[in-house]
Amino acid sequence: MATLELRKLTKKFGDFTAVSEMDLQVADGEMIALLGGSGCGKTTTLRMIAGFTEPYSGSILVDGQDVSKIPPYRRNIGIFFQNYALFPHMTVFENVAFGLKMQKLSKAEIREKVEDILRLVKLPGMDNRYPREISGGQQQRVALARALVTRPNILLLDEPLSNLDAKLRVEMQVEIKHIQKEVGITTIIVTHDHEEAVSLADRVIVMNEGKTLQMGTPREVFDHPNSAFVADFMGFSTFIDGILGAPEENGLRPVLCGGVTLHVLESAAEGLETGAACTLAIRSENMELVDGPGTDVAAGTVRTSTYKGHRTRLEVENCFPGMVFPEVNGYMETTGGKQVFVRFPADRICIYKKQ
Amino acid sequence: MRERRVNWVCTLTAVLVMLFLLAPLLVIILASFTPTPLVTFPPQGFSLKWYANVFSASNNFISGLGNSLKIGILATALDVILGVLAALSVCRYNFWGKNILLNYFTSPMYVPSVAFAFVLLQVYSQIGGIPGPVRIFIGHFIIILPYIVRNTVSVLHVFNWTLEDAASSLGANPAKVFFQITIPIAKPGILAGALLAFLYSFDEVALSSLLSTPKFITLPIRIMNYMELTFDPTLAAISTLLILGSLVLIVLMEKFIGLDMFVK
Amino acid sequence: MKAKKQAFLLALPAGLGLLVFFIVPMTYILIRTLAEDGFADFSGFFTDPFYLNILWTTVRVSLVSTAVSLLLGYPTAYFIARTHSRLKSVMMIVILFPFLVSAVVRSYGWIVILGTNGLLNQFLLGLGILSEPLKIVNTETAVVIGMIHLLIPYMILSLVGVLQSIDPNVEYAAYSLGAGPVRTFCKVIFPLSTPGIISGCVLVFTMSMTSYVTPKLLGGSKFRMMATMVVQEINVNFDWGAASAISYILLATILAVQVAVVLTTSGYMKRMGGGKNA
Repeated sequence: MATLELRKLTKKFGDFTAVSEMDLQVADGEMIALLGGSGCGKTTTLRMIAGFTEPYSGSILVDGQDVSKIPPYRRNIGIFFQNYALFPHMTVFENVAFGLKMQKLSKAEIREKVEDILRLVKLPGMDNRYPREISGGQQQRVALARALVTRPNILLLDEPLSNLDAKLRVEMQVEIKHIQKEVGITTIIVTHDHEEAVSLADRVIVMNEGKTLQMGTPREVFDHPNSAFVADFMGFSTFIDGILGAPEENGLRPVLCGGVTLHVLESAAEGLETGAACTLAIRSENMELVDGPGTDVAAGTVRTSTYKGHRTRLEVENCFPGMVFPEVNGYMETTGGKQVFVRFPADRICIYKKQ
Repeated sequence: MRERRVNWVCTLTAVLVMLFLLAPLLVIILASFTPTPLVTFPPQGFSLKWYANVFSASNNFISGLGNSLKIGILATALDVILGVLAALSVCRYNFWGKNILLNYFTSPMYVPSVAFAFVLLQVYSQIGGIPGPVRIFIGHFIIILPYIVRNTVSVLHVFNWTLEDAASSLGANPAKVFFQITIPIAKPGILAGALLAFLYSFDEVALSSLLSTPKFITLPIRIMNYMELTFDPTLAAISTLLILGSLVLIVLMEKFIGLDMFVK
Repeated sequence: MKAKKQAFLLALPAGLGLLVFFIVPMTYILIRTLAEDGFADFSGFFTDPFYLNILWTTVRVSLVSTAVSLLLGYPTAYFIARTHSRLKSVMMIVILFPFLVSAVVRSYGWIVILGTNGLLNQFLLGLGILSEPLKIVNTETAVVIGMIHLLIPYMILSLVGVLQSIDPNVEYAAYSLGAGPVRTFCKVIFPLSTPGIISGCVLVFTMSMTSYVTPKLLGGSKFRMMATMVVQEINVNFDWGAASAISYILLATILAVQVAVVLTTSGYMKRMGGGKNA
């Protein structure tokens, strides 16, 4: 168990900067997620922590000690690879035991530890199978077991859930979180899936183009993204342009969006000037359909509707330039061109200066 | 799923080609038992005297076999080391000129062995004093290298390099990674290449006949010399023994690594 | 870059070995030959009908052998590629097996079959079909037969490789779009197998051009191909100049073929890489 610190960590490939002066502190036992699209630098950061790539500048400190010059086979870091990287020519037992063999433990000790960890990941009795003989979900657990059995200081998970089907994903989310808390290991997850990040991590770091855009608890990042880019990445579906008005008495500020006036919380619009061009962002599930016109309500027509089982997602036009995408619970009967009234609750809107 | 049936033209051709390929070999095997110096069909009896003749010292087949084996095994062993390292250099890393380097490693394949042998002959006569076995060894280890490189590259092309990272993260230093992970997985390609290389060296005639000295002659050349002087079924006997050797090798190959390796 | 250094170290042993024992000797002798004799030997080669005939014979034999190998090899490879597992193993052994047997042994086998007193003639004479034996050995025909026997396995392997890598769904797609088996073959399978055809033909042609044992044993002393001529010039005529010329012309011919093939097919091959095989 250890703390991890990155100080001004930078990686360049020729002229291209993959990671730019990254600062990060991870407490002992904490699980953090590096979240971002492809090319944002999260995987490169992971590889530097693991020791597979040398940093261009900056340092990596494990428990206060600089490990940048230590080769990967001496860093005692457990890694879970996206494609599992199980050794095809070894059985499940031999795969999991590999790291322990490198530590030169006795046969009896190895056997005990391997069996313990296989029980922890719920795979007892699989010892003599080969990776090609077990299912994807089982391979994933073997990979996890292999990474954990050597009691590494730090656990790195590269897209741990991306190769699983939906049902297995939910199961594994619970298991990974449970195992991590039980073992108490400092963990870094790398993912492009915001749901995965939010469900697993204690803290989420959103990255883009080698830089950190936002760092915070899952709730903070999910409900209050600090830019339109992050909001988009975190799944905000609807963006509306408007002009910000002066604060009113009830703690709200109006925003003039075409012919409609919406409101935002004064706290949300802190630092933005009256008259500034802004972009509002709101999630699909936070918009409401109401019966008729009112405050914070815009009228529009339904273009398409998509029934998703638990919800129906609507594409509504003519409220504003561009579309809005409210979602309603259950099934909604709509015909093309049906008129609807969409309400935008002030406390659910995030507002950003227009780029 | 619609079953694929092959039409009769293909089947017939395939059968005829198989027979064509096997014909001379079957004939040789049968001929090796004939009692007469001239091979007749139907055979007029059964005799093992030609086999006895194979082992007679005056024919030097055994010494020829020894020479061929020495060269073949040493050249193959050396080239496995050189070739596997070379294949790694081209497959594990990405750099400009990778393909050019690969072509460089397989370049001897593009040079006719007689041309190369002649060049070596001229170099040897200029330098002088190079012993027979070495003269041939140098030629062989160069011309069989491409086989090992090519086959190893073909396995390493589909190698999952993340496995090396995984082993490294679990505490294996580069040497352990190489011997416990990379080599075992690449083994089929390496062995297939080694087999092809060895057989090429063993059966090689053109280069060996130009570079051999009276004291060091390889088996195929002994056989050819015998063919020119005395054309009798001793040739069939020794051929049958060689065929048997190949058969054993290929059955072993099939058992250990399967034959897919040879299908490029 | 640490990686570049590692790659360099790994490439060094083979790279050096090739340099010292292959590249340097080949270049040195070429330069020395040109320096001493200029192009005299080469012009001697190209102005003498005797030598030109040898070159043409070699090319002719190689072209014929390649063509027949392709013609017979393609259906055979198609059969193997489409057949089911148990039979496939057996067939692969039959294909690979002769190819692991020395050319000397195989040529001997053909002499036993095709010789004047060989099995074929015994058979034909015995049945009364012929009154005089066929003279096959020591002619070009025997060499071609022996050559095809040597080369067909290489052709088949090259083709089987490519045929097996064709995504079966591509065929089903063609059927679903209304193409019958013949049309599917002509418009889908055959074009997709072209890389294998080309590499097989180039390989087989090259092997035939440089072949030594088969022409020597099956063609007799009056039948000359480029490789056997080189050895003859060295061991019998002691004419190293002629031997040089022939070797380098043979080498140049082969390289020219390789280059020509690469140039004309590289664009083609890039377009071929699509779908599952990409």
